[in-house]
Amino acid sequence: MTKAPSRPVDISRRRFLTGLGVTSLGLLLPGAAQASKAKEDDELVTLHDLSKCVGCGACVAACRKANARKFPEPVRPFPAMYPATVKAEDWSGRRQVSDRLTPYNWLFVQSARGQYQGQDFEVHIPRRCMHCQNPPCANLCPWGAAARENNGTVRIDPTICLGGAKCKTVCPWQIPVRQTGVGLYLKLLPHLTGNGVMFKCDRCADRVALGLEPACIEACPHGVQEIGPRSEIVAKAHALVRNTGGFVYGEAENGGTNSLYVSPIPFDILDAVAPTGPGKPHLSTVRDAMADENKLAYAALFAPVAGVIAGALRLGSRIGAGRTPEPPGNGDGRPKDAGKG
Amino acid sequence: MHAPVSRRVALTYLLFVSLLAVTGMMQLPIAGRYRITTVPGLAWLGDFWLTHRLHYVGAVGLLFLTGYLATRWVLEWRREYALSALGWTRAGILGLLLATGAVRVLKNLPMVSFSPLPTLLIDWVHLGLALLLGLLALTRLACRASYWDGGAARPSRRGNPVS
Ligand code: SF4
Ligand code: SF4
Ligand code: SF4
Repeated sequence: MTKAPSRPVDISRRRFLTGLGVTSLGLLLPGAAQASKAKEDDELVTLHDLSKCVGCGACVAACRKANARKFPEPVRPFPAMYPATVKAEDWSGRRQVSDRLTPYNWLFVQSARGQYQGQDFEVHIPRRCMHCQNPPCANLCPWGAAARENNGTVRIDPTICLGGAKCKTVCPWQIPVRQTGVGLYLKLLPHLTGNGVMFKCDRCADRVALGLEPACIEACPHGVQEIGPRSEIVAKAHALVRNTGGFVYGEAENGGTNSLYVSPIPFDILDAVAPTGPGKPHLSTVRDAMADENKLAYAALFAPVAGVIAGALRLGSRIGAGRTPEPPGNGDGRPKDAGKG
Repeated sequence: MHAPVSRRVALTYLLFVSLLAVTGMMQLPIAGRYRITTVPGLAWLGDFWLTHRLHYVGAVGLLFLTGYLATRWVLEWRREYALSALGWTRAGILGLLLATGAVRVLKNLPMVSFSPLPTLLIDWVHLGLALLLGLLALTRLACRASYWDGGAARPSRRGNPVS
């Protein structure tokens, strides 16, 4: 794939055709594997070296500034919701909140304090969307609003999102946050469907498209974070782990993410002491949420082939048994309609 | 006028299509919002992962059945039975439903990325086709029409389906 990693993406023609071939014929597995390999090199990954982070919050301030124009400006009053059990979610009066994720705060610094091997520690962890390699938020979005781009950035399109919050429910870290009173639902059936728009880190897609670094990376006075092609950054993370005796988070979580954290303290210990809860994602291990779907996809690939074989075998067995091709009206081989037609 | 498919196969088709219709609708986040989950026995409809996986399972079943029936039609029934206009319409809708579903499954594989617009179009077309299939089934019931031409009602037609 020669596409510039930062360019907004479309389905690449080769990948699309390969894909169609794979789905309809089940014959092009090597082609699919090739597309996958090309993909790896397109992906951009971020690496946080948590041993360097002092928790100053400059990245948080930079994120808010760089993305301010993308923040929601809700229309009031909010449309009445039916049924009334559906509640509006309004962060517009709490725009200054910066100790958790909100539609106006896509990054916050989680601070974990405790003891490890008899030593006190304090680790600061800038938290935002992990940009999963196979993101459930995008895969299960029923509306096409959330999507993963070729460079690994996962974005929610604010002009399409209806704010049903399914992405949040299926996200292993419950990252996206809703703001009511904005978005497409106001133009459709505002009382009956949707409830706003979901917001989260878009990895500064506009800046990256211009060849700039994400604002949080650029603003950090301690060079905590860097961004680069997957193979290179993963190698760096591994080297950091080796050289510092540290631990990595995000490489295997949810089947792989494009946000790696390396910490001198094990992540299960950080998870136990870090403030977690709504808008404050955990640091536990996460199994690949899409693993079952991936297996079922292969079953779906071979199901029509198996059906064709079963259909052909049925005729073969009839002829082999000295019978004519089955007369119509006897689809399951029972004698009820034999001879019809 | 009757169909070449047996009752057992027809019921299997109905089972897969119903499973797909219900789990497909539940991909929209409506079970919680409309309190369907509070109806005894229906709480599972609010489990996005369960309904998503069941949708895949239903698709595997329908794909198998489609391959099986299409093969049998080509090899055996085609001489005696042709699809009616309604039957061709259903076959077309089903084909497109399976194709759009397949593209969506492909998109959900690791390392495959579609940009939002194609994803959106695929999702909307898939949903629209599912509604059309439902409407078609209702129309057929209302008009007591058949998806098939032929069988006992017609003499043999060698491999020449009419519409
Ligand atoms: S990542 Fe950098 S800017 Fe952000 S809190 Fe840590 S040291 Fe400060
Ligand atoms: S962390 Fe959550 S919101 Fe971000 S890409 Fe993964 S599933 Fe989506
Ligand atoms: S990448 Fe951009 S949007 Fe994401 S947290 Fe950093 S500054 Fe905010």
